[in-house]
Amino acid sequence: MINILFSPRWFYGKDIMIDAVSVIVLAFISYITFRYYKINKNKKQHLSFSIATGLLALSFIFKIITNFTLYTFELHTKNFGLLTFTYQTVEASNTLFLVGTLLYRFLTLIGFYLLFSTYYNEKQKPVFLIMSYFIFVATYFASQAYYVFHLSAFLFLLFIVKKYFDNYKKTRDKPAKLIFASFIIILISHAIFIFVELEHLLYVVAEITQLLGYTMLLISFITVLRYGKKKK
Amino acid sequence: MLSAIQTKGGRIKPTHLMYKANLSNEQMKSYLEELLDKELVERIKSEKDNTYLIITNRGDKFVQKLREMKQFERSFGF
Repeated sequence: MINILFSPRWFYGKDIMIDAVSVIVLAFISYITFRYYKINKNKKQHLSFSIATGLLALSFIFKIITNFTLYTFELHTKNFGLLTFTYQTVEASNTLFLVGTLLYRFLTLIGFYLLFSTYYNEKQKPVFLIMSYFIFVATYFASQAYYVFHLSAFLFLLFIVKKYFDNYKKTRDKPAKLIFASFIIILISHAIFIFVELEHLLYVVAEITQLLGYTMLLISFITVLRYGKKKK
Repeated sequence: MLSAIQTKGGRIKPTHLMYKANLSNEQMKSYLEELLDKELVERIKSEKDNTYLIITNRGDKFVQKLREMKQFERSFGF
């Protein structure tokens, strides 16, 4: 049986709350940027940014559903303590884990790839198809080696962060600096997730870092809106 | 054009707008028609029978959205 839970028992539910915050932040950004796209439909970058953040929000929803069900199963197993029943429950949660986690990982990597391609201009159909295939392969192999998924996400994020750093150097404005900082924190959270199999406490550290990253991203986005309102 | 009206306190004469927005007469006519159609701008007559263009609430909100969008593009490096 594969190891399906990385969270320490005392952290059950808290990680779901953290992921829920990430969903809210990403869905909000996706909605606002989609409205920008509707103002000017020639700006495809806005659409791809909106879809990317929307997919990331959706991926977190799958993570939440998977974890919520798994934690509930875990607790039931503990309460009843019947051997046959326990066995069936774990089998069911194993299947759920595989489907839910595959969807979470696939959508996350597609989301980050789309965000990456928003900046690196690789939108021709063959490139997109081949990348989707490799993302699918990475997602599949990540079920055997958990770190492959976070390593792939880390690599996409690394290049995205580079773009935000370049942009900050160019504009030197506060919102660009905040955006760069929030993506750095999200990048760090994925770097920590890579090592979760070695020490489960790192899962807690990574989740808290993720919370910081997405909270900061929300603050950055609100700052962007405020700066936009101020400019006359 | 909307920004030009805003900087004039929300009310401007059509000819002044044309110069301020640096438009030809033809461009001015076609753009203005679109703005009037979309209810972003209104045409009014003053007591002295002069024609003025005023920006509507909708127009104000639209300009606001555009500014936010511009800042978004700048901050996210588009």
